[in-house]
Amino acid sequence: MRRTITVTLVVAGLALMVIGMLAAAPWGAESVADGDPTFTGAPILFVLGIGSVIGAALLYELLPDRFE
Amino acid sequence: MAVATQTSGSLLPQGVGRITRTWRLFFLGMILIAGFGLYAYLREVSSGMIVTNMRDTGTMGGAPWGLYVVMVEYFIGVSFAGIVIAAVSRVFRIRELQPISRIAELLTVGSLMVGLLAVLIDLGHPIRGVVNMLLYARPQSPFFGTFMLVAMGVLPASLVYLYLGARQDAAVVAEQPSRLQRLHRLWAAGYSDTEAERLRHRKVMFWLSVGIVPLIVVALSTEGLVFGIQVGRPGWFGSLQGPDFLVLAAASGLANLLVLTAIVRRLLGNTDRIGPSVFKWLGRFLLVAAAAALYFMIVELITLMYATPEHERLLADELIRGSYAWIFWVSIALMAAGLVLLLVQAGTRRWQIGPLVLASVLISTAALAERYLTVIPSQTHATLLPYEPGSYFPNWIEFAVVAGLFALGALLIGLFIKAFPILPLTDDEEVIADA
Repeated sequence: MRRTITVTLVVAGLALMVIGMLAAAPWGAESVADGDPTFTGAPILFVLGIGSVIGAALLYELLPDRFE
Repeated sequence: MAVATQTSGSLLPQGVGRITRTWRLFFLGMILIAGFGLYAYLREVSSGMIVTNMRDTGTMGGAPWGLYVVMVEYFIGVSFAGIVIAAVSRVFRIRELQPISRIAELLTVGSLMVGLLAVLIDLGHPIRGVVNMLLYARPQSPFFGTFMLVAMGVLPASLVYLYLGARQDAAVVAEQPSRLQRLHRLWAAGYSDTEAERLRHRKVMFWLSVGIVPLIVVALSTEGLVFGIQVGRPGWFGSLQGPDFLVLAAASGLANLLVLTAIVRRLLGNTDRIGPSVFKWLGRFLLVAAAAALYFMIVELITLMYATPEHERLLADELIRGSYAWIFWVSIALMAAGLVLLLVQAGTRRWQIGPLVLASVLISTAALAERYLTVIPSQTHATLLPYEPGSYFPNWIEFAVVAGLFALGALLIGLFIKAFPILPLTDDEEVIADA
């Protein structure tokens, strides 16, 4: 259970980072004037992804023994 | 040795919880300086950035990135060495450096916090800046890395590293009745030192150590890239900015770590735990980093001077014999003097704390001056448009805010030292704390 939660959080975090990067990229923009992210708020996904990976380390150590 | 660090009336090791008169004076002094810095910042908030000496480039002939940005670069740079030393000593099991791993982690956390505060202080509207960054920034941009990756990645990771790394000791000191017992219990979070917990702890710390080094290298490289990718700014644009930033970060970070280690050693009554071998290791690392930093300074200067376009040449002239010459030559001299001090000790194989601390102060000051020269002259003297050369020197508001940041950092470190064992506990200390 502990391992499952940790791996899930790490994978979800990495996925969120990739999605955040892709969603923030200004696809099809031809000038820097159109450089805003394709989806407003996409950087939040990237930040949440980092938080998820770091949180996984914290949870792995802090979860009580019953989560074995 | 452990007994020597006990205090009368308290069984907490390493003077934890004992606030002497000197410590009270220290805290009071730091609070006063930080308060003065806050006052200066509030003047800035109420009246706008006009109260500083920062001005736009071009027609206003100034520098919009002033002392605050210099301090961002410096503080974030200082954070680099601490966590890397802690992680490397854990992964490669360098026993000599393990006693100072918590000092190193603390230096990283403290310098990251004040570095990020310096970013916010530099913004006219900090809240708007952070919100807009979350909404509109692009993670591919180095500007995103300078703040978000550090604030949301490196700082939380360093805090988790510090927290988990000290949890075992928290469980030990939490057994001891004291005013800090509640804090220590909270920190221990139920840790009971079973075999399974120890195994988990080792695994987590190993993977955190492995993960945190590339994370901080990426985050810090982007600090250099912020300057290196600006094609329209002579003196900044270049592929060396990223590695140069890392090397100078390593030198300034190691120098600060060495000084802090010497201070902690003194505070703990010249404890044998931080022995000559610790300083030898730090001295060797610092020697390599300072030599590389000096090498980069010289290479950059030669590149700037040799058959470069007009604006680069004008900038080089300004650095060598213009208004920035005194800072430039002082920084070179300080870095070289620090390096010579280290080389002498390496040559004689006698690493002494006094000369090492002196070398560290020289190198750290040189690094700060070098950061200043990286940030400012390109704005005042290297515009591609036909503007007259500008000028910039920080005013008292900026100096007061920066002094406040230093005081805040010192306060954070001081509070930690009084609230928690700054050195990992030895078996002797655990026995005493358990008693």
